[in-house]
Amino acid sequence: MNGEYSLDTTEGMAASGDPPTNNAVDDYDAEEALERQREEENKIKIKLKSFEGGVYECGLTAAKMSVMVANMLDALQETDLTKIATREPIPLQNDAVTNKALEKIVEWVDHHWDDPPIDPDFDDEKERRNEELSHWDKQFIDIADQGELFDIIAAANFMDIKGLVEVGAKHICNKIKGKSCTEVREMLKIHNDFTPEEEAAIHKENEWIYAKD
Amino acid sequence: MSSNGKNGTQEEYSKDSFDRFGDDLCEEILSYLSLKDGFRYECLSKQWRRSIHQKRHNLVINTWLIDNMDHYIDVELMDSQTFELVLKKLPNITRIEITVKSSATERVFEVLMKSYKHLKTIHVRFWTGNDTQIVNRLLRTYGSQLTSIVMTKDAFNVYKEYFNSNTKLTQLSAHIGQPLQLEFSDIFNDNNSLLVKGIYQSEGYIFTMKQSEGYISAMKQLCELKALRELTLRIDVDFDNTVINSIIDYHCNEFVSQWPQLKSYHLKITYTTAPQLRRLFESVNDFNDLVVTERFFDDIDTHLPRLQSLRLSAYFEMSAGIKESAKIASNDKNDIQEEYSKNSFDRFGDDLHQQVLSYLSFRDCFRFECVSKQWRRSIHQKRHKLVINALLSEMSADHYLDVNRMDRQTFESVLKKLPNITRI
Repeated sequence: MNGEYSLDTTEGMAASGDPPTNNAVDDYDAEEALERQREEENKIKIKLKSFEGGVYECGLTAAKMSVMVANMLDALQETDLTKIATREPIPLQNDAVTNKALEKIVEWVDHHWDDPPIDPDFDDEKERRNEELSHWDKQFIDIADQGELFDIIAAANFMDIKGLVEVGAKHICNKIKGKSCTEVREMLKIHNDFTPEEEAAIHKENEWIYAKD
Repeated sequence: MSSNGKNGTQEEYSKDSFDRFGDDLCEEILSYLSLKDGFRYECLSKQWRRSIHQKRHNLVINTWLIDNMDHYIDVELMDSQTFELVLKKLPNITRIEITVKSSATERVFEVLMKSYKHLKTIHVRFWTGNDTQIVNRLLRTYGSQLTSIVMTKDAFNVYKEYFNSNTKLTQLSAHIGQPLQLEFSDIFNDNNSLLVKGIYQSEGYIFTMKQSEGYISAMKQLCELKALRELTLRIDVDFDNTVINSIIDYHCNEFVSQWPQLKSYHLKITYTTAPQLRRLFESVNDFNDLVVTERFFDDIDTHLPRLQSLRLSAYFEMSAGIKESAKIASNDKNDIQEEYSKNSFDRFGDDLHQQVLSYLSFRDCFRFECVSKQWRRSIHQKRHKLVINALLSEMSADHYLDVNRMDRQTFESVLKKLPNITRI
């Protein structure tokens, strides 16, 4: 190892560097401050109330991952954030938000609240789409009871938590990948509303996808 | 909002049926299917048929990657009627990616341009060999609309003529070998005002002593691009140390200070000898993204405060060496870990070592990718929250679970820790 290139050299470079580098450092500090604020806010707990009446506690920053909850909180125009904690629980008026679903959702946002925001300068939507779920997410979303799973996805969609909808969507798509149409229909309990003729016509239309198989 | 739809139909559908979802949520979920699965499952139900293609924005025609057959359309296996039908079903495409190989794909491209009026990203790869006529025609007609081009040397010469009309271009990539670098400079000197967001420069594998000058002059030319936001630089060196050193010298002293605004920087360097990597790390500590190979572990304790994504690749021929050096390095670091307690990168380093050690024994060749999401945070706040993506090519299914479990235990025991994805 080259001792002469010590860590001090690096820091010295950053400190005495040209102005653009310092700007970068400022950006960095600003981001850090924002992160601290987010962390502080997350220590404030707010209450969410499910459709069935169960009340669950959740960090403020985490709860704001739900665009719907964030909007509701904004509408309160409460400047003293700590007061939010003592308020009435926020009711979530959708039948998909069951006790179980809300419990899971709170678990998810509590785990993900400090995810870095997506950098708008980079159009990495495509990469994100193809990215596999993290191990934690996989375990989280692997729910035996399909009704509960669908509750969570529908509730996340209702609460507008994009990340969680994505997790659910990827999970479902992973499960049906490689299955035949009949199998998928059985698994997801989809009602086939095509006549046999219509279905055959669609098959014929899409013959090309099997060209290489 | 989907709730409206659902309230009405709530009685009809049981809770565990997919049919309970409204169209918008259905579209969202199904958009994660691969392109071909989209067509395969079109016949499931009417809801699926009408929503399955609605949120598909990306269309890939003739990819050059062979691994994801389900995600692209191979037009060579398709007649034009079928193709038009397919396009009709995909109404909301905003991004296309196409490899132009022959005049047949040229026609396909023209059909695409006619069918879709709202394209935001058009990525074209010219793979036409010496036939520059196709390139010429396409650039003349559509040059101003393309946003990203990959091309070979011959195509590049043609491209020069149309350079000024390529107003939307944000990314230009070229297979650049030694002879082309001067022409490369011509183009960029001509037009400093162009906002070139990203350049993927793939250096040729030319092993000569003169190469170092070639690299340096190429780097100098790249410095002209002040608007650059994203850069991938690939340096393949397989010759003697002095050459590498001179390249690295230049890289460290001049090159890296050029872009304060650079947001993402991929540096790929292939070494066969022990280099001044540590110095390299220090020089790039302003950048967010770094790709290195091999001797990485020797110097992993270097300070990299801006690193957000880290990719490692290594090959089996050197794995024995890495194993040893990694062992030593990780021992070393255990000793100094206390010193760097605030700097979780050291711990991160240890994790990496363990990961590598666990993989090396049964993998010939692997690609190891780690993304640390909360990197900046963790370095300052002792919050050890990392997401590690391990991407192992050619890994057999039996090994998969093993590795999975192993990773988890390792990580859970070392840090209170986060998801750990292992994928094949």
